[in-house]
Amino acid sequence: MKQKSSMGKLDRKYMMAGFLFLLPAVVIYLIFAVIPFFDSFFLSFHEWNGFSARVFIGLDNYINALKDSTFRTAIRNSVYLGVVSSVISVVVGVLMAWMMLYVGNRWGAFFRTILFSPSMIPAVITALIFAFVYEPDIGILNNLLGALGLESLQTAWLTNRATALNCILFVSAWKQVGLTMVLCFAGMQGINLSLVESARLDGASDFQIFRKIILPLVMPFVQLSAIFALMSGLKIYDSVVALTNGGPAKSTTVMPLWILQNSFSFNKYGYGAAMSMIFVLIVLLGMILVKLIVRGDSYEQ
Amino acid sequence: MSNNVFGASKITKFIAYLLLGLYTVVVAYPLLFILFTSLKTNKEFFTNLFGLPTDLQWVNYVNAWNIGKLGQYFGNSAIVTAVSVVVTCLVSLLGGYALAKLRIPHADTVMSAFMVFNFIPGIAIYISLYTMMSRMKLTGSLITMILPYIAWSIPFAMYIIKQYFETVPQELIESGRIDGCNEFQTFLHIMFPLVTPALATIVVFTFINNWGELMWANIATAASATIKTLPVGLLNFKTEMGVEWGQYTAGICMVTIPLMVIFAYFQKYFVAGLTNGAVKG
Repeated sequence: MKQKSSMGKLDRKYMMAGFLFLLPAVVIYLIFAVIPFFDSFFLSFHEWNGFSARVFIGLDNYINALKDSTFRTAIRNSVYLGVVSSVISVVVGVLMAWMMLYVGNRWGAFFRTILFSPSMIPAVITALIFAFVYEPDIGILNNLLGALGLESLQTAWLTNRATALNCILFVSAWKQVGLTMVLCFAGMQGINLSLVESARLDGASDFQIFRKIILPLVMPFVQLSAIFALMSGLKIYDSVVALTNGGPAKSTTVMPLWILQNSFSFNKYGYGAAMSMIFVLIVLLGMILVKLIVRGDSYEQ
Repeated sequence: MSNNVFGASKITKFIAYLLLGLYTVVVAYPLLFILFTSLKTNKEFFTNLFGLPTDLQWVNYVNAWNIGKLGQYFGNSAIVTAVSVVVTCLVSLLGGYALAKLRIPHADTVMSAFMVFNFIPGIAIYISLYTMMSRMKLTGSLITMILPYIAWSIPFAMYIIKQYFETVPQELIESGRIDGCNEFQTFLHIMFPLVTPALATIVVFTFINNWGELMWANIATAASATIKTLPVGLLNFKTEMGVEWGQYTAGICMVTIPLMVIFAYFQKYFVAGLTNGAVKG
């Protein structure tokens, strides 16, 4: 143990070394994340085409954004994709994780690897893959419907207003389920088995064990997966660009896409920045709501 | 986890295999379809849409690589990803160690500040960042992607390292100091070898995020075609190359296969990182 008198001096020495070690991370993060964010924040109160001087216009960009019907569609679509894809991925993911408890080890490893694989494929690639599913003539989906004698259901999935958004939703859920499954399965593996055994002795059915023991104990993992799914759903951009580019008639546009187009294609940088601040607020609000809805009290086992 | 402990009934087990089997088909079929298509000629694609390829067309990969310029894009992606992964590891190792062990005041608050920004959607940063970088003359080369990718990977990486170092007993550091090591030597000889599992987690996450990143790459490469990364190149492949199904799907496989390899090696670290509960979505 160190002498008390030397503590202060040594502490300061370690602290200086610490600041030095931390410096690169802080500098890089400030330049490429923090400063641009605050610059966007200030930019959101200005009109700016990217070249001339910025003109301060107060809250005009925000007011225009709320009046912009395409932006409202974009908000609605992003929220829809976020909420519904997280509900689907949680329901299917938890179901698959539960089922995973009942298969043998070797089959379990096989299923787990396959089902998880979409989660690590980049979103743009999963969307390009699904372009082959939705393609009207050569696509897997229409051919499958044809083979089943359901020609009446065939449609041009991505250019039909009624189906385009849900096509994007399916890709996103398809990608997200594996992650939820792996997370919740990891949680289920941590469950104290004596709980299950004693319930079994008391004559509980498989469903009762799931409902009363497994599900409550994996709630923290469910909450975590729901947050992941909601975040990635709200931020969906890649699959929209790859599948519909916001069409038909902007009906599948999402917040990041509309913001990007306004900024970089229409040179309305201030307006884009204001919409991106609204986007930030919606994302933060979503996170808080998930935490409130899916209560994940952790149990000490 | 062995199945007999949960002691399910025969019917439950049957349902389990059935559901998992069905869902496996839903997941695996589109992937296999792409793999098969990447080995067919354009003609066979139309005549034999769903079957196995009869005559394996590896030439599709060669053509996509050379004629479709995917080789160039692959090279760009490889450089961007490799450099950003290595630098992220170095910077976060130092920073995470400092926050965990070097008595920085309010270390947890500093960490939280990094994490808060991590949840901000990228687009709120990109608008200003692009104009900033073009004023700093940082656009038009791979640096345009490398530096921001490093920055955006730091919070999660540093968090993992910090958590990991916190479990290492202080006595180990003290022993190094007593033996006369300076702070950097202590770090290099005593702490670094202990931290490889955390590094593996960071490598797999940073690799997966940066290898497939689209939005910033799309903005950053809009003005100069030579620095396009693989995801951007593939997104525009059909417009630029016409409908060459074999080459196109070969390109999709080129993006996916390195990820599968990385994942196969690092699977357990990936799950460990996820359960640590902080990922940029």
